[in-house]
Amino acid sequence: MTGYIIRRLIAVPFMLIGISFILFMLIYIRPGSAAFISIGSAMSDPANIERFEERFGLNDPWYEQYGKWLGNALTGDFGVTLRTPHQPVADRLADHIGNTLQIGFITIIMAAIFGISVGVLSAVRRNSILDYIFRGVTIAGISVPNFWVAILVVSLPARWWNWTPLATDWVSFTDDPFRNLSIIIWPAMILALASAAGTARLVRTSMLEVFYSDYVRTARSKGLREGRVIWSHVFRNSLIPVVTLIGLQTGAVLGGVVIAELIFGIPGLGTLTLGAVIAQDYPLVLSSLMLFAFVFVVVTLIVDVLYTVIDPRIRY
Amino acid sequence: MRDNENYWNRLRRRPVSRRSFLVGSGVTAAGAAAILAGCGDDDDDDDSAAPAATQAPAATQAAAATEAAAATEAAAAAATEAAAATEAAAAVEDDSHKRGGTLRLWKTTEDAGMDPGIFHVNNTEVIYTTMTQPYTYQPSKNLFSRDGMVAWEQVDPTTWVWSIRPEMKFHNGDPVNSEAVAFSFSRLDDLYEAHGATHTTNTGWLYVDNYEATDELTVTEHWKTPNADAPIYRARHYYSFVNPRIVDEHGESVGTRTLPDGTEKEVFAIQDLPHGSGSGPYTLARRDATGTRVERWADYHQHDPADDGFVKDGPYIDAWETRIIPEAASRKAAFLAGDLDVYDDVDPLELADFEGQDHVQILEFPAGGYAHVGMDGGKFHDKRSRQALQKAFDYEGFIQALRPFGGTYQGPISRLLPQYALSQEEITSYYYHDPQEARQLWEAADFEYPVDHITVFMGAGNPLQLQIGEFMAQSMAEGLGIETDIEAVDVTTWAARALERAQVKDWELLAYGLGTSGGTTGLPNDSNLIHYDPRGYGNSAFNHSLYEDLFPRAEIIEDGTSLISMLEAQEQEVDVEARAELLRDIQHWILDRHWCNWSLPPSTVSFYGFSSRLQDFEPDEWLNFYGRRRESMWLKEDA
Repeated sequence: MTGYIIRRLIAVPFMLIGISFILFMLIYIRPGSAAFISIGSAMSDPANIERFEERFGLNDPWYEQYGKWLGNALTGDFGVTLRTPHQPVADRLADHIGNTLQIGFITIIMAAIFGISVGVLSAVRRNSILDYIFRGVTIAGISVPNFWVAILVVSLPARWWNWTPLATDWVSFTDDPFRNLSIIIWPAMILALASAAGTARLVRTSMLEVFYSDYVRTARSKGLREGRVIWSHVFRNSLIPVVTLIGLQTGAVLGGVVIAELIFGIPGLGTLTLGAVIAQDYPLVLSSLMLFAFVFVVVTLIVDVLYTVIDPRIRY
Repeated sequence: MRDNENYWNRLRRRPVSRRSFLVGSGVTAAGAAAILAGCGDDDDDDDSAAPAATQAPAATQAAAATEAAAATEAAAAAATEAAAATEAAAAVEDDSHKRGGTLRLWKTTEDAGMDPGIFHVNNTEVIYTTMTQPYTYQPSKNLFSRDGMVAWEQVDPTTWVWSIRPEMKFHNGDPVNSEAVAFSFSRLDDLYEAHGATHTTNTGWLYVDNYEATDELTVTEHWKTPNADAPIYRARHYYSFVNPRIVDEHGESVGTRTLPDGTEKEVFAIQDLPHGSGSGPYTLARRDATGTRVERWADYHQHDPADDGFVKDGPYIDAWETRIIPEAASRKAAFLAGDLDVYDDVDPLELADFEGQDHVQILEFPAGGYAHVGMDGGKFHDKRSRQALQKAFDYEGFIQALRPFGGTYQGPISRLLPQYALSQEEITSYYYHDPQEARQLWEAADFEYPVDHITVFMGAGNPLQLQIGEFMAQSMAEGLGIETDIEAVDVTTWAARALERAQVKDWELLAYGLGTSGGTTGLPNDSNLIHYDPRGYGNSAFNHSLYEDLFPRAEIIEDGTSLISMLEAQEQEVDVEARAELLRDIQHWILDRHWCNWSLPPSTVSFYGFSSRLQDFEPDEWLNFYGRRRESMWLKEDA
């Protein structure tokens, strides 16, 4: 196990370099230049645009640009933003990442708690009214795009009651935890809805598969209480696909956070990245996306390790 | 009794009935809602009272007669009269109830910098409030209101003299004197040359030869040529007074410029707006990823007497808070919830969303916006091909389909400048729908690059822009019998491909602008003409490389050169009538040549939304974008 983790950790930097190369090329082949955005006008003197490109190495060949970025990134220097006032990218990321991680973390916790609870109840009370209600709700949760739900949550109360959960008065968690949570909870709930719905359906299906297996029948025939059968034999053995799903959902949640931040006006990594994409600020886009990639790679590693905890038979 | 026989174990073993689960869920949900409501926004700013008002056009009705240079003296006189009236009113009015409050605004993204000499769309609310400009200008009243300058005089066609308001100081106590003002104005060209990211054109100051600090409070400008637009340009935020000491001590180098003697001059910018940079009524209290906040500066100089829009003892409102809200639906929600004081342009198709909201005011104005279609000059180099495109377009059908409050034909200068604009009859003699004639012209036209397909290229994101593009494509298909499609991409990609330096573009028609916004700055250039100007947007829409030595086309170079000469001549003509005549000739030339671009009919009216608590709000200043400086605005807290 330790060897496996070490092997995976060694692979992480190479994986990230591969991802960074693909991302760089995707940004590079896009038409246009940050110079146009920074210079800010269709009527700018071409000499000024050339001067800007020269200053930031934008007219260098792609391999030089990428090599320079990668070389610096490996030493912890992610460069400066191409948009004025050319702040260090690391500072910009540090300013924004906390809010994104906070929403992402709360979303995943809520999705796991509600998804597993609903899935278990649905499986235990299969074909009951409760099960039908939960199945209906989960299908709706999966089917309805969360950006649309977010827009409804922001817009409808404003029109009906002149109130909106929009973060018009943003405060950080350290400044005012309660106020901060009262803002964060809305996008987190909306993002958690789809994730929880997916988790609930998978938990229900996995548990129902296990319910009629021989070892569960054996456990019942031994006289174990139903609760013990469900928690110790059914639930635990149906967890592996659920943990996989929750791990995969991290990526979807990070993507969803970008949209949620925009709609709820939360200053996070998503808002920052989108602004950077529009400005073609490639050092910022690349570094920001690499941060997303890093989080996803780490979560995937944690999920793989968790398998062995849930099912001791699994060996790497 | 077993050791573990306690309440929690009994509870754990108790079966959960459907009923108890539902009851429990209900109680939990209600509790969560109550907690969240308790934690929620306790802002009690506004609710009820003022009736929803869709007021009749007020401000721009008279539509600004703006021959600026000649009107300066009259405007100054009007300002003095207005000041006297304001003073008289102030003598009898206790205005203490107007003081206080926070004006709540929005913007879509963070500003990229705060130097007033560098172009950043998102910083104007801070620049206008923390810095002093020479004066403000209201096009609909043709009124200049004195701010940093108390007098100005055009001594001769190329000499302009400023008199600076006495006893002004920057926020750090440094005096605002002629050296500071001359430095502030002259650095614009330095920044343009060294950095590039300055304001959209350098035509705002290119005619100036030098700025001279004549005495402590007098600055004399010596111009190379006369300039009719100069006075209005000087109301813009990039003419802010900047503290030279702060630039010297805290400025960030943005590059060098080469001086005439061959030496290099290093140029500095104040992108972070250090304390003491400005001398305006507010100071920058916060600027971060959530937005900006400016707060009242206690030592702000007096305006005595105060011209229209100013208050003797400084602005009534204590602070301006600008939130970053990128998403349009969220902005509308925040406005409807009473969390914003200014909404901005309201899409006519969304007006119903604002009905019945007591705290919302929607004003109706004549629309000053544009909806343009640029033609790729590489493909449509023959005038007949451009003429065919314009005659294939169904103008009346467009108005009926996309202008629910009516549409109007628009020439190269907006009808909001009636002294220059062509009449509807004149415009429709060029812009009319005749598919038969269009096809004949298309057949007869010379195409160096055959056009068997028309792509209408536009930015994505706005539903109305897509509808305009779709209508255009359909109209071309029906009018010319040619295959068409639309391509909508993100705005950055759109701009990049619009500007691409190529002999022919990878699109045929470039659609941009909705034609629904209101207002004018009072300048012909801003009021549509720049879209035809080879030095301006005309070059990108039409294909600017064709003017240059990269892919020269003789006919385009010839026409472009002629047009630039005509445009320069009108810019230098300070006689109102003579300039109007020149501008009319230019418009006829453009329409007759079917030059580079054409205006689709804009909406007749536009709508502007703001909070009912905002009083003495002058939408004219907000509509023209360059003048949000009204100190006499105040917030009625019970509205």
